[in-house]
Amino acid sequence: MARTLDKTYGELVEKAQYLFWTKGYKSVSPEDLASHLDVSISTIYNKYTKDSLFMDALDSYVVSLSDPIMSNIRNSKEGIQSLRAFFHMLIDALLDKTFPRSCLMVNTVVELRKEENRVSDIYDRYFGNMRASYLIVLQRSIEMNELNFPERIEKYADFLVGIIFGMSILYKVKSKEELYLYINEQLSLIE
Amino acid sequence: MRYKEFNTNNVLEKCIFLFWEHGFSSCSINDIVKKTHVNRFSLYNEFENKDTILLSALNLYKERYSNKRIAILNQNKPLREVLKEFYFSYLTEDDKHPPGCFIIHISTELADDNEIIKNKLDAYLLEIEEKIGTLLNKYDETKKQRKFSAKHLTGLFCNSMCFCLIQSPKEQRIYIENGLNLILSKTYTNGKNFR
Repeated sequence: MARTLDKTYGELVEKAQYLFWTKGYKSVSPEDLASHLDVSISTIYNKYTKDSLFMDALDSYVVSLSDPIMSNIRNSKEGIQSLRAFFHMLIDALLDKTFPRSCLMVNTVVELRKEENRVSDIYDRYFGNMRASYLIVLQRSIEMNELNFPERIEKYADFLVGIIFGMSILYKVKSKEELYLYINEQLSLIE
Repeated sequence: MRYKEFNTNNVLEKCIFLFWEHGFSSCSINDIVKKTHVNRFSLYNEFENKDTILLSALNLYKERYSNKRIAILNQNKPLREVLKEFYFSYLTEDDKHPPGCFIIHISTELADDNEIIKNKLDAYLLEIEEKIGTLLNKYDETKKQRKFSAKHLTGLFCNSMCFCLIQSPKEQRIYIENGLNLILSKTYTNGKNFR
């Protein structure tokens, strides 16, 4: 008898996201997905393919994880301090494995680069939103007189977008104290 | 006695490519056999298991490719030129490897759960930091804050090895120059800011 699907698509995407996050895209076979999601293999082949589950997992990463955090940063009343708090929170999430393996978006960049157009669209949205949010914080920092060189604001935003990439490597070998200090020093470069 | 019918380093070169393009976990011994044309028995005889193949491949990559790039840091040229050449040596595409760094790539996949890979990554980043420190020590303007700058230039290396993979060559150049300016300007302080 065929199994009926008793889970919502959203639940499946969430489960699939965890699998892609820990194992990457290429290492997950359709069979792995079927057993991890507890659905039949024909469901993966015919209904929800590995590709669409992956794209939706990435999309949900942006919508439910990253967007709310970025909107917090944008709406904060603080300047550089809101960035410091964000990066410290990221360090905690990386080290206590709330983020099971690095940042899903960075992992995807390293693994897939720009091999597929659909991934590129998600990168553009994700990093575009991140940069725009940083710019808003930097504007606020200027009003608060925190920046010595306000005219360099665009360059600072570019620099800030790069930080999460290095963090996603460094957390693997550095202690929490070292990472906090690293972030504070990185931010001191723009203050 | 049988002669070994393959060259170990040639096999490892093919494995570097295979693991880099497909990820280590998704490669089976069968995939390695297909790619290298060496049979399973000989592979196990030479390397024991898949993990030892990976470690040998990492060591070969380090010896053949990374060391040459790290040696760029020994050159006597203007500081920024040396650093830029170092970063870009990883990003310039050739037909042999994808852009980026194999050690960083494998660490992204495995360093969380694999202590040996983690230690390799740690040693690799420390070596880069130390060599950059030695380089900075040669210039009066960076001597004093070489430790601080070396740490953050190593951070810029990590950033570049990931971020630059999705950038155009022009964006890469802008990103790296911008990073160098910000990090090195910290050493030029005391009123004399860099331009």
